[in-house]
Amino acid sequence: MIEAEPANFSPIDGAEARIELVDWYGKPAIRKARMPKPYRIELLDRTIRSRRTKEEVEILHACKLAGVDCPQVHFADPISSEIIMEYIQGTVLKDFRGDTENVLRQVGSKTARLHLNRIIHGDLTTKNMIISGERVAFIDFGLSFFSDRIEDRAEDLHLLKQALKSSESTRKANSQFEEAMNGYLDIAGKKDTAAVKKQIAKIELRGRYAQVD
Amino acid sequence: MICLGIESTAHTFGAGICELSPETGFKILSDSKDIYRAPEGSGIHPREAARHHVEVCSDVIRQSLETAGKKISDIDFIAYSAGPGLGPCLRVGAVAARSLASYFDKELVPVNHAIGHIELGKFLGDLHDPLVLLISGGHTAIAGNSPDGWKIFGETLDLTLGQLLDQLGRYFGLSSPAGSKIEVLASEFKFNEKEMPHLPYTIKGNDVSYSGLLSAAKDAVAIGQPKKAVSFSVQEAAFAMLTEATERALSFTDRSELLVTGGVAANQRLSRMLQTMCDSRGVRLSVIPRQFAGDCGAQIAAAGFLFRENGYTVRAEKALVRQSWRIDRVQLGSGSKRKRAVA
Repeated sequence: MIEAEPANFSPIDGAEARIELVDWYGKPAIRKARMPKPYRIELLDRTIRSRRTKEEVEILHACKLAGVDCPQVHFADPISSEIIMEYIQGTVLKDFRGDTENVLRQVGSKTARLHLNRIIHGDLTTKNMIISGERVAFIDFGLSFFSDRIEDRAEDLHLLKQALKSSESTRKANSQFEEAMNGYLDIAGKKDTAAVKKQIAKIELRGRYAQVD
Repeated sequence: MICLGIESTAHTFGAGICELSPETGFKILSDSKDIYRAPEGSGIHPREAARHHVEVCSDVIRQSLETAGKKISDIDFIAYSAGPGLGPCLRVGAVAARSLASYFDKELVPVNHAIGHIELGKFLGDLHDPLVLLISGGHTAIAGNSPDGWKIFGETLDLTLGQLLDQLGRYFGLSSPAGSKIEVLASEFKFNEKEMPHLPYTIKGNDVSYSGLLSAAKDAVAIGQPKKAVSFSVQEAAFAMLTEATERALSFTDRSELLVTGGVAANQRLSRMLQTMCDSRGVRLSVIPRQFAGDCGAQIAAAGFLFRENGYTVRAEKALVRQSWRIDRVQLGSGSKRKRAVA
């Protein structure tokens, strides 16, 4: 349990939703509302927002059962496309300046737990992981889905690698990613990890005009 | 500095002359082109496109000099599109550039075609450090510059947006490029929820995927859904996916400018969607003017200045082409201005 420090959180108008701090029966909580996107036609927009809200709640629940830290859901409504969930105070991995080695190993092992429970995060970037003391929690399951295909697992990790690369030098990012893969190996075992790694290499080659390093 | 840029990556053979000086800034003096037209219902045949380029090459270059009111002796250096693109087509431009450079003793600069789209867009839109949405037959990528070169924040996992539209067009019996014809078809659809085919919307993080959308669109046509409705639905899904991915990338990178460039940038529906999204985020949107959206010589000349400054000048015998020269593989910026290589 985190002590209820005074919550310090300014609303975020994210690409996907508006995230704000609300009061949930005396406790700080996060309200995630998928706002209508006026660039989409209404039919498409409505379908996408309500589908994603429902899926996110289902996934958050499955994530808890898989033993992976994520926000607890308090309330959800697919029609208004909003979810009220636990507020986890901490630093996002993108801005984290501590022992990244240990953190990335945890990121890797938790990703493996998700994958072994058929959960694909779908947006595994360094903005979607919160470091709170010893705790590493995953957030934003807005693009998550259920699948046990090696391809989907590999795509998840490929995105993590891309995210690391977009804020670090290629060399540093590669070693960070290696650390995460070590954590993955701890949980998923040799066979699965090798299969996923092989598939990641294939995905990298699939990018347009890609080539072998 | 005056640069003659030669473009020949795919269907377009183009020659453009641009001037860059500290006093007057950037100016396009001329931009001539001749586009290979594929037969109805088919795509670009690389050999046939290359044959077309050989036939029009000298006329296009001559015309660019005439329009600019310049003689070949006024040209300071020659830039050519070295990739990515179709091998046979690229080679025509490279041969033309090599011949001119060695005969008239000019500096020769290989240029990355994609960066050509971006550089021209930056000059024309007066942009400094935009996030770039590059959409054409060869690219669908969201890119941003960093100290050690261009980085890709999201891209298509399979087809490009141009390919999606061209292949759908081909299925309709239209010739490539078919984007503008699909746009007309889509605009003729009278919106009605029940008649709108239900197509997949596939976005994975910052990446998009169009292959499932294409298959579903073809299936919809096969069971008798009208082309207008399918075109409308394809545009709405494909563009919304891309707008969503772009919004994510804008949010991730915290940029305040968005440049849209490449052939599909000419699509009005996509521009409107992006404008709506940018307005809601307070981002300045700059869409490259229609006449410079597609492949052209001016884009190669515009990028020529950047590549020359970064030490890409080569001798004629080293002026090669590279069919798959990814934008995030181009070495620019950081480090010494040592000799750079295309290959």
